[in-house]
Amino acid sequence: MAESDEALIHRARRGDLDAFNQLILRYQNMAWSVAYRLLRDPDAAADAVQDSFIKAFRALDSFQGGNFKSWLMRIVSNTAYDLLRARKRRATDSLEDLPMEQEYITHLTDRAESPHERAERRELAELLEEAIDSLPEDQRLVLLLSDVEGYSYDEIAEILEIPIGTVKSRLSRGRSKVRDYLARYSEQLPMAFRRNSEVAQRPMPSDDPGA
Amino acid sequence: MSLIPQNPISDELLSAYLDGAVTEEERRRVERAIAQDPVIAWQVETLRETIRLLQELPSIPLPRSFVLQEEQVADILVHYRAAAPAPSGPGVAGPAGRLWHRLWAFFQAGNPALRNAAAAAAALFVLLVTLNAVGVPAPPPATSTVPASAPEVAMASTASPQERETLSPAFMAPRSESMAPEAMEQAPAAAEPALAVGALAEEPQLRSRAMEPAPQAAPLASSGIPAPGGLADEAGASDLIPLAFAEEGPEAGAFLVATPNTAEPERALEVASVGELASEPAAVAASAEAEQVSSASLDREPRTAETGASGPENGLLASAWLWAEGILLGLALILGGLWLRSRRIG
Repeated sequence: MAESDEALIHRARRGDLDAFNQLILRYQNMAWSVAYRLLRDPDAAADAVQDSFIKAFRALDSFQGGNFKSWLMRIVSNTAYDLLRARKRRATDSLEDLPMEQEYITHLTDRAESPHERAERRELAELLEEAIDSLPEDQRLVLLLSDVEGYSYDEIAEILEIPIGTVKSRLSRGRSKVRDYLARYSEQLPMAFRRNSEVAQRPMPSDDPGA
Repeated sequence: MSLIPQNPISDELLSAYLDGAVTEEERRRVERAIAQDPVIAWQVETLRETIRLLQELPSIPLPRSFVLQEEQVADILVHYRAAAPAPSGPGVAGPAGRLWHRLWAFFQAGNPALRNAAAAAAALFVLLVTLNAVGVPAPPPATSTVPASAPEVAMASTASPQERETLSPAFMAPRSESMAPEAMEQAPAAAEPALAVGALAEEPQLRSRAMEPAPQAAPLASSGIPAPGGLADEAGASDLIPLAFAEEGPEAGAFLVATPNTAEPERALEVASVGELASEPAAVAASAEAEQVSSASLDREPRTAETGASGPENGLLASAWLWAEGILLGLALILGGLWLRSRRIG
């Protein structure tokens, strides 16, 4: 029977590093996945995760109880965000720093490679990762936390310190964009996407620049 | 939030619907729309499929484990451990215990090598100062020169009269007894240990060196001096004297030699240890053998010896002591500073 988070936290607060490391083993996969998908840079993501765990250990006394997983993920996402912003400041001119919305549109309008070719070349998972990459960061993070990592609306609101309404709207926009992205390569996708794939070709309402 | 044209059903509502995060009224509205509008139906279906795919997205393999190592969080670990109740009992440690733990934690943090070095340097410094205060160290120089002739002078050295008093009596007594036979001159001094203390005069005599008595030490310490194997006797003392160890004074005895004389085991130990530490300051070397000396005891003739000792040598010793103290103090401060810094960094 695994020890509860609370018991491990209690021990860690008394200087039991092994107890804290058990918590790390419990959540490092999640932290790494989120940080990596947010940053798309293995080195930066590893730094973010390591820094986050050290910060978390240092701040353990300020953890007021409640959901440790959410508390930890808030540190991870904040740290990753900070790195993201720092990276943008460093390279304001690089292509990667184009506004996400524009990047997303670029993906949609890139006809150099036919959907079929593209579908053949990529695995479904790769396509999904690509779709996630195409999202603005705020939507990407909410979508990752919700659909990939399984956090609830409440938890996400707590992690990101935003209202639940904002969680819902970001998640909705993110999902729609991923869906639209996938719909362009429907040959490789489940039937649901194929049936009315032409419908997806129409101007997508979720392309609001303000999203 | 974007609304699908010609339809009051927003993407957000559909998304929330798929998560079951809608009111009963909203749910009915969505389901009605799905039944009536194939576009809405497609959207709901594809959104549901998208969510499913996302949920099944394989996790990204860890590049390595992110488990923390002690050194990454050493400082905070110390803090946590210090703040934690004593491991012994479940009960919370009292304030005193807590304070002690914090104090302990404070000293435990930082670079242990620097901390230990600083502590050692500080201990040596304190030792030297104490020796000085007692009169032993400084005495060598001053005493020897002056003392030789005038006891009072000898005292002048550094030792505070009071301290001497305290020390001397204890030590003196034993010596006096043993000595009695040996040196007459000392006799007076010894006889009235109390006086001795009070009176500087005695000191000089004593200084002669309880230490010297120790034959072995003497030889070593004193470069050329042939230590008389026997020792106790004045003769031996005299030989030693030339070396002019710091120990001569009764006080000195207290530290280095005294012990021996008194024959108190504890003291002997102290002396021994002192001797080791002192080793740095050349002058001290002699002390090591104090123990041996003790038994023998000393000759008080020191005076003679002292007299014999040349003034200049004493002066050198005195300045050597001063230098040693200064250097050790500086060392202690520097190492302590480095250690404090290493705490912060660590």
